[in-house]
Amino acid sequence: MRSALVVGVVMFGVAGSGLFKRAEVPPPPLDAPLPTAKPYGLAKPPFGTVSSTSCAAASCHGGGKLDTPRSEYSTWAATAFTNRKLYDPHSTAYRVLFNDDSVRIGKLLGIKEPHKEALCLKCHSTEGVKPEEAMSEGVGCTACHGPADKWLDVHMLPEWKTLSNETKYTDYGFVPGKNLVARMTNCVTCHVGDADREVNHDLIAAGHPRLAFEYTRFQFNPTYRHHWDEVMPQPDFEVRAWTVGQAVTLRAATDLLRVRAERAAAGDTKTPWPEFSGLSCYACHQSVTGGDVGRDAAHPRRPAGVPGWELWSNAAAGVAAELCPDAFPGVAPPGLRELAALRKLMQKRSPDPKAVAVRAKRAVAELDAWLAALQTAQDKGQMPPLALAAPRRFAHALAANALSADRAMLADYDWDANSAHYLGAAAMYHASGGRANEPKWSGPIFGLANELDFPKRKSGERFDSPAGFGDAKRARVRDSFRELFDATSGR
Amino acid sequence: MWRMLTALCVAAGALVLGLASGSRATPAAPQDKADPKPAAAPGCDYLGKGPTKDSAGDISAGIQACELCHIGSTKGQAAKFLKVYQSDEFVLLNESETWVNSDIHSHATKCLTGPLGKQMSANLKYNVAEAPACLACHSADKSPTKPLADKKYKDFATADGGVNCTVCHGLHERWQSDHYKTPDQEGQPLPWRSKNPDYKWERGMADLRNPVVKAKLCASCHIGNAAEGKVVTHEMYAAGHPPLPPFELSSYMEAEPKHWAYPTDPKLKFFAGLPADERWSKFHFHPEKDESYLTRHYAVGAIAALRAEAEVLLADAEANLKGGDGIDFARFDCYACHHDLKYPSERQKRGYESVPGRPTLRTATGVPATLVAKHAEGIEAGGLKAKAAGFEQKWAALRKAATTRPFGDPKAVQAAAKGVVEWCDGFLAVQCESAAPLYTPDQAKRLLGMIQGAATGPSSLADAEAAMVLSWGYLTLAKEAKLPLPEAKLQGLSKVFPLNVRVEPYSVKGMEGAPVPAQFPPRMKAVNAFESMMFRDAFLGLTGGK
Repeated sequence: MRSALVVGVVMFGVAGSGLFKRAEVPPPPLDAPLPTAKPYGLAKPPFGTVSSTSCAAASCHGGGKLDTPRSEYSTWAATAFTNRKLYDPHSTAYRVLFNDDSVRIGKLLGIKEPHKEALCLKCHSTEGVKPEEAMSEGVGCTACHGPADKWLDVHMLPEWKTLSNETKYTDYGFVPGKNLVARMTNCVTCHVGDADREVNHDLIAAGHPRLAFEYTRFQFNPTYRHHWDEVMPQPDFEVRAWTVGQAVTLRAATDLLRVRAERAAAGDTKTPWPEFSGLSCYACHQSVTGGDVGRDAAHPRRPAGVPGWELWSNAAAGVAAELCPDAFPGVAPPGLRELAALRKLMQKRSPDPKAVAVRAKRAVAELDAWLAALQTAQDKGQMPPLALAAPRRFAHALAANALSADRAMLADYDWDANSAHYLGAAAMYHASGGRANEPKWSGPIFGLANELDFPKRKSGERFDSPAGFGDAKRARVRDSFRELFDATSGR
Repeated sequence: MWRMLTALCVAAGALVLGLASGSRATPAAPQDKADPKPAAAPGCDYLGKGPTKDSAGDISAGIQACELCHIGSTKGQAAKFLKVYQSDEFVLLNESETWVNSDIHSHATKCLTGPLGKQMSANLKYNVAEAPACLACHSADKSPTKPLADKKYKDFATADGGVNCTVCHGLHERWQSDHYKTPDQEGQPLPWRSKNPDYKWERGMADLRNPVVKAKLCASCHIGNAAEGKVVTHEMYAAGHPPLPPFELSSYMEAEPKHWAYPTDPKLKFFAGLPADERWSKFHFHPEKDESYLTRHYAVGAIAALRAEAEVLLADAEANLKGGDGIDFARFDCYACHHDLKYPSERQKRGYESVPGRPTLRTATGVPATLVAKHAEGIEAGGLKAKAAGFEQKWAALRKAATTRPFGDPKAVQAAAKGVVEWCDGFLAVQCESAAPLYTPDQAKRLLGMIQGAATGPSSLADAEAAMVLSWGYLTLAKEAKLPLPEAKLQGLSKVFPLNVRVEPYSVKGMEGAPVPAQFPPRMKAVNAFESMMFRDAFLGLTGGK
């Protein structure tokens, strides 16, 4: 059942409209003190790496019994699957650089061989792997688990289990994936981008899919073959994973904005500014139909005709912030006032890169402190199980946030904003066990999936945008959120 | 009110709107009443002159005054002009009637209070029916020289409900009282009629028979003119303003319910009897056999449109150099961004002139202008060939400046836009001054062939608007050239997009409300569903290439 949810928006993620607070707050002064806490896992470990073959011994992770412990490599590896409907796409990340799409993208950008181009290899291969191994490696073990030179031997020893997550990362370069903040912080270096790697609009216009990272959607994508089991049970895992995913994605998007703004402010002519890939794709990429012209009246937050900045990662993040104590007891909701000020700065056609760089840096500090708190809460030890009603509370808050205060209209007409709320609600539905436990949600959840899905075309053709997402569809999205709001109230 | 008989001599002009030149309307009132010395070959100097502050606000009246004569009646005062001065051999005399009943311009102000206007007001948080930024195009602006920021509601004449006679023919009341003055002695012709265009312009009457004057005037709204406060911004579009359709003067003229007549019209007996040297110097008129009337308008319209685009872009770039929020999105091709993302993608197949993903300047303006410039390289008459040189380079420089970074580098755009405007001015000066026929029937045929080549060539194939504007132009000129246009083949092309510039019912008497929204969805549907190969087949089928 989750599969249907996910299929609804398979290719693309959602993100957020976001207002954390509806009321206008003045921007904090630029000399106001900022929190200094940072999560570990942000800086790249300064260690060498090894190729996946080092992990693939039959007695280690290459046992050959798919979907069982000690066969992680076998499960992951491209050569292991016979059924392409279920596999780990990281294993094919390198080989896609040879396909027709990649060749065309390269041609349009003046790149002769994408499989030799640093711009592409940064995310489509594993750093430090020899060219002859790149094909089988794809985005291999160490891309996610950390460069293994230093921890490869140690991690088999009993002492390894006595080390703290932070020590494993800081001293050995091992990414402790059990910590959700550390795990996702690693994902977003490619799936959102950072100072070293990014998918900008030049690349997207040439044919690269847009990025739209929402962790739970990726993890529970029915075509994704896991090579691990989560220790944390449901619904706790998914409620927390969604919350952390919101914070981590938003942090990465904000930091990427900072990097771009700093480059533009320094006069770097190679950095496009404004960078369209940080704006809501379908604000511009929608057909002008002549029928749907009333949408701007619905949202007082952006001036008419200005695309929203990172609605994908902003829209629903306010819910994650507000309900953070419900998922991570003891972690206070972050204020995120710097971020609000940044969003305001970005409500322009051509925002001032200097001002944006300054404010984005401050917003990142604010988000880092939030991430550090979430990370510590999980590392401190076993967290108490969540109340069974937790997913319901989240879903209710998401539905409320997707609607205007009087619930008469959508809070934001943008596809990204609505999809961000939908994906959050879908995660909560899935966390609760779906229809068996929450039969009342299923109507609105599937309704949203249906309305937000990209339309189908003739065979061999597809839409990469929500063509026809007009007033009529928005009205149905609004109705579904209202229905979800009602179905999740009470108790 | 008698004195306001106006338009008798106004005649031809004003396809759509039409005042004068890049700067419009009323000039300074002449100091003496003596006629200026008639120039041997009247130039187009007045095109550069704008209305002065002194004359601002000196609008005489609305349509009621014009209607006294121009309503198609043979009674009252009109009878005298008909009988004594044969005015119906010079103009049609039913201009007001046509305008009121059939001309969409008569709805321009009214539509601001219609459903779409209300919706836009709600979205923009100001009343579009009273906002100078809207009224500048949607009514008669009595103070075109005033900066937009200083304009007030009272600067606009809105009572007629639309873009009325004075908007195109001239605001100043001086000409309006002069143009129907009868001669001192009986048997003499009307004095006004024998005056040359400079004389009339000095008294505020726009020379709308001059294609350059007409084209610049139309383009001031249909493309934009920052100096006159006529700019459709992206904010307005986002709030619901329909995208301006591509501007193609000859097709617009064809589509307009005409309150003037073509040179071929047998009703215009006055011109048939003119001495050859007076036809152009006094009336900017070439008989049909010398020149293709619509081809000249096609050419002048295409360059005037590009000039207007470049000038609005220039103004935006200059404003941004003083500080601003970047060049407005609306200065770029709408459909560079506004398309659904489809795979396989025609855009990606076609490739990109610049870095992929940079908004480009409007193809539907650039493609016809490029054609006309290239065509002009083969016209020796009037020195047009020499003036036409260098277009490609200047236009390429502007395109590059506009895409070197997203939404253009204002400084580079400023320099390149100036170059394009200068080139356009050189081209238009020849069009204005040269008495030699430029677009002979042979040259007209050559241009048709070039339009056909461009319409089915790679550069415009993938752009719905360019295909549309080239088709409109082709059909208009082919019709004039009496080329066969089989109905069945026309229907094939009409499946790709609407072939009519206007969609009925416009010409419905007493129609209220907003006609534009009625034609807006079909046009957008065609733009969104455009498939280049389908267009190519249909166009080649029609034009005999296949």
